[in-house]
Amino acid sequence: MGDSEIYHFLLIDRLEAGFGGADNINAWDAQGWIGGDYNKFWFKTEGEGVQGKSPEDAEIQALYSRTISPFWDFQAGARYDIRPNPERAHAVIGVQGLAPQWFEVDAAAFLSNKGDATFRLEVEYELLLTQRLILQPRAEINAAAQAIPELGLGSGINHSELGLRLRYEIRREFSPYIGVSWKKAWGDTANMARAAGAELQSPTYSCPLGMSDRLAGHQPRQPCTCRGSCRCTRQAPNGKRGNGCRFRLARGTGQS
Amino acid sequence: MAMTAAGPVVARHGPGDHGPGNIGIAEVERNRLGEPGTGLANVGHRVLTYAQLRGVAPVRDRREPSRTIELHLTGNMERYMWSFDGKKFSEVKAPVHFPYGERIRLVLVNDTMMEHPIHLHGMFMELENGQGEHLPRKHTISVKPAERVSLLITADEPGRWAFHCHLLYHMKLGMFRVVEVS
Repeated sequence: MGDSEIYHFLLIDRLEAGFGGADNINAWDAQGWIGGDYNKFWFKTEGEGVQGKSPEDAEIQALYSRTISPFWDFQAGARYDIRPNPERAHAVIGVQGLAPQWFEVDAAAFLSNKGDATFRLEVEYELLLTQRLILQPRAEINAAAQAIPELGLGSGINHSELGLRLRYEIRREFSPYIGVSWKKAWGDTANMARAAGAELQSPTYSCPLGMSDRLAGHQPRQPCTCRGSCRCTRQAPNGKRGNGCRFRLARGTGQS
Repeated sequence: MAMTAAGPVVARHGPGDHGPGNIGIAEVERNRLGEPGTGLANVGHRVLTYAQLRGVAPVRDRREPSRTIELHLTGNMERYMWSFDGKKFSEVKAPVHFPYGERIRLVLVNDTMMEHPIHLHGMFMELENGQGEHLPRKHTISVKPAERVSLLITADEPGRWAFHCHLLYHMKLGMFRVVEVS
């Protein structure tokens, strides 16, 4: 029988270049897996930096992923931060899956080789304006259990990011998009960034949609960047669907 | 043509949700033999239903079933897994056992949101559709979502027989069992 085959999946979810600001950001965010219905090797990588410079953040995760419920995977493994300096290695545990009402959720806790505990929550939603035109809000919150001064992080919530991307699926595997994102530092993290000097902070920029003024508030403002990019998925063979195809299933149009 | 009313509730789903390989359960299980198949409720012509089928010859084996075997049709569209009772074929250790010579009642409950044509090799299934002694004989029965169907089988063909969803990609991904008559 073919019910134990090994499948693979690759999603380059974000591969983007900012435009319209003085110091534009390039970013990537990709993940993939290889495995069966219950056990998978899962990797994730993400990072970003100012265009023309080396990345400010770059990380890679290697995880074992176990199906624990119809919509959720438990994940455990390792994360390595190539940037920022000093480099860090982390142990990772987390859950990834689909919450009720079709919110895609990735929540993880990290324990670094310096004993620091940090947390990250990412939530995405896909609004199908048409079968091909998809609006995707995205939110990310990062937090730390303790201050990590050498990385410029305070305890508690340290960074949040909101994004809104509109993509057009030319094919299931290829979707250019345009969007806006807004990143904000909180509390001591913002104070440390401010103290570190303006040269570390990108100049304030109001994007054409005018969101930065309303959302950035009094904190040192990060650029609200307009991004143009593409989103690529690679589907497993035999019609086996990976996680990047959830919106179709969510609307029940792919039932067969 | 008016919408056909849903068939009567005949059972409720027991405890358990069949694990990660299954997304939903039919909390209310209905007899839907009197309903047209999916997509045939509002067509402009007469539609034959399972309740209208009547065997030409009367049922030969009049014994009461000596045992009831219940299997649930399960799946996970999100992960694209298909199974019986939430277990793919490769996860099941033993065949479904029909003792040789016995009269078996096979109950199928569809916990998914689509029809599955379920096919038993080797022996006919007599569909309990209310036609008295003239139950129709089927080798494949299409089970509607949230439907509970009951079939009678005389286990008179020794050996191992395939039992599966006849949507072959469901079969291939695990909606398959071996029935052993011994």
